[in-house]
Amino acid sequence: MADAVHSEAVAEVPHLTHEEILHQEEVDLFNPQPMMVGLTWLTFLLVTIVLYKVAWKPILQALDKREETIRESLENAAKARAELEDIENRRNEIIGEADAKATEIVATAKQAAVDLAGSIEESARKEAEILVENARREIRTEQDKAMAALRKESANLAIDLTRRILEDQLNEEKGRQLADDMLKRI
Amino acid sequence: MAAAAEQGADKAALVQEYILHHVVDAPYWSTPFGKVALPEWLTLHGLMLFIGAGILFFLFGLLYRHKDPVPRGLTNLLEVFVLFIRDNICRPNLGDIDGRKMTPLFCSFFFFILVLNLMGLIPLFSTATGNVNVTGALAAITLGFMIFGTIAKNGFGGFMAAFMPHGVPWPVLILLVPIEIMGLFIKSFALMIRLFATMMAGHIVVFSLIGMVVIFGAYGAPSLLLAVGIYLLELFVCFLQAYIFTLLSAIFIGQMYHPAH
Repeated sequence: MADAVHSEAVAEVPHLTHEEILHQEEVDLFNPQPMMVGLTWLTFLLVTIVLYKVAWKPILQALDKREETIRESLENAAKARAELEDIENRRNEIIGEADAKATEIVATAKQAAVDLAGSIEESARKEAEILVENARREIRTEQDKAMAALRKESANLAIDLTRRILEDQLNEEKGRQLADDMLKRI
Repeated sequence: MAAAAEQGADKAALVQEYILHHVVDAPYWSTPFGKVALPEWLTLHGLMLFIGAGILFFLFGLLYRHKDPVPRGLTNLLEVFVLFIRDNICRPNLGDIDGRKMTPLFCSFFFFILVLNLMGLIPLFSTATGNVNVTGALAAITLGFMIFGTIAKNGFGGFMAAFMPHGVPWPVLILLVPIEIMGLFIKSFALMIRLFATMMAGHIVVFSLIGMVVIFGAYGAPSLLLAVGIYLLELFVCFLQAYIFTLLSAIFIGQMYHPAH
């Protein structure tokens, strides 16, 4: 009804009073048009259904997927970094261990060398001592032997000598006594 | 003198008439090639609805490239809006699960209203959202979700519970429940009027400023600059109102879905 009034007003250049215009405005602006409401619903429903298929669903899925991808990438990066750090730590550990082991080996070798040198020296000294001891003992034995032999020889010599001297003057018995005394004195 | 005044008043009436014609619905479409008569069941704003829907289909069906792994250009721009609607409108107000589920609805709200708003700024087209029937229909959708969506989700008891805040003594409830139920409709009504009035008012202001030239002749020329300024403001308001309608719908539906305890 209002539309009809309206189109007429456009067709012929309007000569409406202010009151008419104001009245018309009120009628027109808030004129309920069920057809318009229905059209709006229809269009909106259409837009929602079509765009859900064409746009919203794929876009939201793509966004979710991208978020997932980004999160995964970040996680992977963090993991990789942690792994790298781990490897670095392990490397440092291994280097440290190797270093310690090397130091230990050198120390052990040095100690072993020192010990070996000590033991060699010790055994050499002992051997030398034994040799010296043996030599000394032998010397002593030889000396004793020589001494005994010398004593015996000198005794015999003395007896011989005495006998020769006293053969004429003394009897053999007195001479032997004399010789024994002499021996004791020696 | 009196004749001049009368002439001025006539011009003013003419301008008023023109403005009114421009903002109200019409049974024809004024193009530079003359008026195109529309079928009985379709008015200018109805046509604008269809054209708006067509623009959206074109925008998202043809220009949007969701195959690209890295979005660029227009695709990126549209995704920014969708993401914003999901993360800043739906999820904070409707909760994570409902928010994600209802994002498509609010995306439709936002883009549909936005396109209709922006069409009003393009010569040749008219503002469908400046029609109270259109905004009313849209607000009714929100109201429908506030009522039937809540009943479907929380049951009738859950729906009624939304009107009865916890810890309120029952005598207060007698007063409070009718007010809350009234609030339900007032909120939707406000949604309808807000969008309708802002879109309509912006156009009236732009045309009034241009009308100054008709009434005052060359002296009214500076008002054209103002009109350009208002036009730019309108551009912003188009986005703002689409956002506000979407946001408030989400807030209202969210309040019904998850009543505060």
